[in-house]
Amino acid sequence: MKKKYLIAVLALVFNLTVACIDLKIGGFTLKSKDVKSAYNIVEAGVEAAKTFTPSQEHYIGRSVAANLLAQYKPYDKGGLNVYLNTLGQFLATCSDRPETFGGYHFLAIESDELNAFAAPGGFILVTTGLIKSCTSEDQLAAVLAHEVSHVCHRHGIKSIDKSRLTNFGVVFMKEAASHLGSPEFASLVDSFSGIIDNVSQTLVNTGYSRAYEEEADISTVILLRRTGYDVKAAEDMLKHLESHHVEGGLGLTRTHPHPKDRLKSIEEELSKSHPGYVVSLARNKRFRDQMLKSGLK
Amino acid sequence: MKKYFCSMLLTSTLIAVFVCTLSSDEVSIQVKKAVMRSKPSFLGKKVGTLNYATRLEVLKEKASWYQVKEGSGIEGWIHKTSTTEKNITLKSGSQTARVSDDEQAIAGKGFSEDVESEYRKSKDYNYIWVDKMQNNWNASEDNIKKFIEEGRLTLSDEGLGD
Repeated sequence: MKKKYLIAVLALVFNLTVACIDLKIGGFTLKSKDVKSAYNIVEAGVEAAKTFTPSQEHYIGRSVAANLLAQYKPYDKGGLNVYLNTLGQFLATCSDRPETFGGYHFLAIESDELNAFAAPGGFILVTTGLIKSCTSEDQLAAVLAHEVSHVCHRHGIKSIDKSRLTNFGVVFMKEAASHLGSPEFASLVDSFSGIIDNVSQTLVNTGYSRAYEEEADISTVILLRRTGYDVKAAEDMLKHLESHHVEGGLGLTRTHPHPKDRLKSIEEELSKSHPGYVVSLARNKRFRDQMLKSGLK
Repeated sequence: MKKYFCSMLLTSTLIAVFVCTLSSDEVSIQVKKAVMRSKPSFLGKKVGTLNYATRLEVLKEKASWYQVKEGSGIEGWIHKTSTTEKNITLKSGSQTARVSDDEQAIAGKGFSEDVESEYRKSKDYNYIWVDKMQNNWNASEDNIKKFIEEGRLTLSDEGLGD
């Protein structure tokens, strides 16, 4: 329902912009050119977020995950993926976006790299190296909560090059207007291919923007607090990454900001009270048992 | 010219007012399947399952949840993130919701299996494990509840969404 008000505000801003009126509110003057600039930014953000439906996001995520799984070997020992999915789907249920088109799914991949990938729509892959580096369920929850947060904020979709969005838009308009013939269908597949390459490249090589990582780190702490996990587990994991940080290294080192900067970005959120947190021996035991069963300790 | 300009302004202002007062009290399901519950919480009992594109009447909203009524008269709560205000059905509230032509194009020839299967022909990607991800290790609601209790965790709806 909020959309109605947004449209109304945008229409009002449009009026002011068209009319080149400087609006005086209290002691402030809202200049027409500033309004115009703000309007353009809002418009661009709204467009990017609306380009893909949850269903399309799901199919992009499937192909990105399939691409990653051609490069990394899946790991499925001792019920590890049942455990990852129970923990991850619980976290996702408590997130700001519990419902994606096809749901959240988690899989371990065999690699000593400290790395994890969140493909659009909720396909999340975590390396055995990163799982092994966790010393408690709370720390593993921090890892998964970070990936869930990327999906929640649709960072994969929002990171697609604008030029590819434009190409997609052209094909999409044709598609919506009529039944597709062979050339249009081929063009749509080409456009899809470009998007898959682009998102995969972001996840494996270039990483998200600093702002997106900061947003995911803060959401991680909020999600841990909401679910009753120790918020300090997020800090512990970042400190662990800091101790293993090598300039020019692989995995998270290559695709994420320096852990020191990430620690700084969650300071404020960490300082808030955490009344729901209870130490649980059963939680620690099930984590240790699972790691042993899966051959990761 | 001034008259024309004033009428433009008046028209767009009226549109803004109209949009504000418009009663947007229907939503469509935008996920593959959505669970309708007895209360606005994931702990609420299941009262039904809704398919993609089902149109629903919104009776009430509470935080991140809508209380809705389905075509057959069943009422329950669904999470807002499983819905869109966009009308993607032709028959409002119908149990056998018919998808509009545009949506059919998107679902049938857009980013669906058709594009994926065409795309897959030229790639040596691992879709077998993606299918396994979707089907093999999903946690049931009972298992998640057990997991929460055993680990002394919380399934809180507080702070979700809005």
